[in-house]
Amino acid sequence: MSRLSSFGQHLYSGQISFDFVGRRRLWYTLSALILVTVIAGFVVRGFHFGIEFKGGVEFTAQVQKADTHAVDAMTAAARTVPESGDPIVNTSGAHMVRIQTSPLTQRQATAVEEALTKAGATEVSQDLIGPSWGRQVAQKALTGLIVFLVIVVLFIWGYFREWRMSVAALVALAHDLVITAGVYAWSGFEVTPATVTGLLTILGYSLYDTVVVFDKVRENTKGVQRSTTKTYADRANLAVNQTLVRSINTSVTALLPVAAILIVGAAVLGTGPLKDLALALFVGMAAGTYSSICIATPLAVQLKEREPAIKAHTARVLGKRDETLTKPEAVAVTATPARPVTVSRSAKRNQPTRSTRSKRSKGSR
Amino acid sequence: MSAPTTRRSLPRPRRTLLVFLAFVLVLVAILVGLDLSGSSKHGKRENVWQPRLGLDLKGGTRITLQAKSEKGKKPEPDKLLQARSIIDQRVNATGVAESEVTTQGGDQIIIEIPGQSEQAIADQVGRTAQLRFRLLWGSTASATKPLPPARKAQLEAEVAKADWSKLSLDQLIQAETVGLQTLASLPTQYTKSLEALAALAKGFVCNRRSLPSNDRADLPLVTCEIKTGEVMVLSPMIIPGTDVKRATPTVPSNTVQWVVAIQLKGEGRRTFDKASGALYQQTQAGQEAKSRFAIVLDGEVLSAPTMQAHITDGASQIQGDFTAVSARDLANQLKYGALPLTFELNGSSYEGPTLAGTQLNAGLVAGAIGLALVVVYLLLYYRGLAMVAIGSLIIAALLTYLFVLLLGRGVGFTLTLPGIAGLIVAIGITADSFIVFFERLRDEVRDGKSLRLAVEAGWDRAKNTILAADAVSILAALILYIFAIGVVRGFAFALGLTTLIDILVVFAFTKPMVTLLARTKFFGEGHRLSGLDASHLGISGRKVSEIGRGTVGRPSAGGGEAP
Repeated sequence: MSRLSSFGQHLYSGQISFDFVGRRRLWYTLSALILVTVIAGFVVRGFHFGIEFKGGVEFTAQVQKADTHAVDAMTAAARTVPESGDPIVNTSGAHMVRIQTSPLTQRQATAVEEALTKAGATEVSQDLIGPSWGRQVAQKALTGLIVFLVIVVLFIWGYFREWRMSVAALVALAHDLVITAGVYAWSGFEVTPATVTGLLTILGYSLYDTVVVFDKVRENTKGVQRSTTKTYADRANLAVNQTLVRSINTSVTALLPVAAILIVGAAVLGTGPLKDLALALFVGMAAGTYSSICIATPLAVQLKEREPAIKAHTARVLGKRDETLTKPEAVAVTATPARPVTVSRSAKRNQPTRSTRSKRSKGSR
Repeated sequence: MSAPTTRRSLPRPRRTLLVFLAFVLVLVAILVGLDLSGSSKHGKRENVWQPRLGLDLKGGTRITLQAKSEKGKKPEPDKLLQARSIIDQRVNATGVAESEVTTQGGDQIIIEIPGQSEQAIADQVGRTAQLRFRLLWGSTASATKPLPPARKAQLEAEVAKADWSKLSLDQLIQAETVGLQTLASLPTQYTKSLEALAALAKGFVCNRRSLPSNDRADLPLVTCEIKTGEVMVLSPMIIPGTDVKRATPTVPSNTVQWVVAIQLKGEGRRTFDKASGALYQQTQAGQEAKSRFAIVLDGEVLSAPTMQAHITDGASQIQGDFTAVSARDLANQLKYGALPLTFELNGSSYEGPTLAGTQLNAGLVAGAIGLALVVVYLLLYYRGLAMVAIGSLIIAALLTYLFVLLLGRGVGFTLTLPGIAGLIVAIGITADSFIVFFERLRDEVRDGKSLRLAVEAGWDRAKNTILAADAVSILAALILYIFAIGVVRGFAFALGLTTLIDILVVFAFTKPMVTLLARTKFFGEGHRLSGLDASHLGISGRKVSEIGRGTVGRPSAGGGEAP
């Protein structure tokens, strides 16, 4: 662990630096590959919508022992009511069986319940779902999504005073959502209203993570134009590296409880809202951490570099750097021992995060 | 931002902690007070220290009724609330205990009944029951042979073609008192519609199945009274059932016959004043057939009495061959039958107590495992400092528990399975605020500040990040809550609540604790196990309690750059 923290120290000082911003093509390509795979999943596999989206009745029955015998018995029992169509029966946990049927009226549902009880099930729970319920949940979720996006764009714009960051955050967000949806398509897990909840929560988390990284980017790039050695991209990359340890720690602490829900939900309850929710959260949070580092920041930098002032500044710094390239600074050499890590040019010494007070006030006031 | 600490901004961690402690104690005191006074909304004494559980965690029936909207619009909020209270009364009338009826999402009504399966009551309590008062334009005996469905649909379409809403109340009344020919002077569309109405009435067989299912207020209606078999042509609605203020079965003094006394209110009262005046004249003139009006419930005529007085105050009596039971039934239908909206069953579920118990346990186990994993990770990475983090998590958990209890009493917040999931997810958010702060703190130490300075400078920066990030999280929860229905809301509520608690804890507990600990020898001088030792932070050549080389007197400058 102490190795990890000195790693953190080196990241902070810039002795170790992963070139997140400069290698954006790599990350974009990687994400593009993932997205293509995911979208192929939408087309090839499609979504496995839960009963909530189709309407129907779901019975949960306690049985002596949930095995194939019980499943057969329950299937036969449910079939006694012809309207139940072709019931889907599966076990869930050691003593539970889930039976899903076509939409039934209350009376028919009660008849099925009686048949199940007769077939040896005890304590039959019943969930009668109208055909419009899942659609309503999805519709509401969509409205919520749109309102949320608008408000968040305005919020980020207002907080960072930078529309480019809003755009980059949104792109990262869309990236996370699509990947999460793709995992559902490929894994064939049921899409239920709980999944939709999970997706909406990712919105919050993905942006939360992006805001933390952007906050550091903003801090580091303040007054970047007065720097003669660092471009905007260098400063932003340093910010990502400096928050890298936080990003890792946050992801781990956020993912551990979600993983606990996922495992307990799957092991104890079999299927159910907990598992649906947790899977969406798990994938989305992991994608969220990745995207705020590798997608959102490079994209924000790329957009920012198009700004004429920043463009000119970048050209100036790079020009100057080319001149001095022949005589690399001594500090850079001493600070980079023969360690097999990538060293960006920006990381030539333990540089200050901000210029000194005396320097800062000069010129501006 | 990182201005040198002045006297004014000197942190006073002890005071903050004391205030925070007092706040927690006040919360506990309120709960103790509630426990002792034993007050609760449901009469029955509840255990104050146990969170109110949702049906998915304690078992019970949940019925969702969806308001059928006209043209995709949402019903008016007060109409939904009115429907809610009527359904509430109906549910209570069926005799089930501890039921709860709530509205949701602007167009749904949720009935929750703990305990046994009660799904059967859905039909009973959600019955549409649109009550309307109409004028009786004409009546005939029941036909023997019904119209062919196609012909019937054609005639109904013909009736709907005319714009009946253009007619004034006076014109509607005249059509009864003088005769339908008064409408014939109007544009031809009415004549055609009237012919269609007559044809419909002629071919109407009076039985339960033939009762019109689409009882539209703005159109005339052909229907019948099942008891008598009398087929009637009725005017468009003149008074909606919602204008019935009171309806009571009673036996007026000096009589032996049951009647239903009704009291109208608002617009209905004024309309009834006018209509009864005109109709009563007909009664006096001996033309009883022209002085009748009909009370229609769901397309069925409940009663079609003659007008026996000019009623100006809206208080009238419906006479008929009532028994005590039938009078009470009619009164109830008049009172509660007036659901202002049409509902359809959207879903109903029953969860048995074992399944519910399993879900509750699974949720709690998942939470405990999640919390334990986070604690272990924090201990490994932050060592001694992790105690503050773990303390913060425990305090946050305690506060969450208290708030769940208080909100349960106060605003009826119930803990559902997704709600528990929300609480578990929030462990990550709480831990993150702490991580953001500590990483900033370390950064400041690496920049050359002494630990005690670094705590303040790091906090200065971290708090903005924490607030911004939490704001996004709260925003997400708020919007989820507003736009979500059903179980999703419990999740959003839990998420929003815990994020707020996180802000409270990090400001009032985590930060002051760190400030205090930085003053201790163990942490302040960077003991090897404190998580703040020099090698752990990755600095060399100085102690964490010392200010870095070359930065003395310039605490805000970057360190390590001195030649």
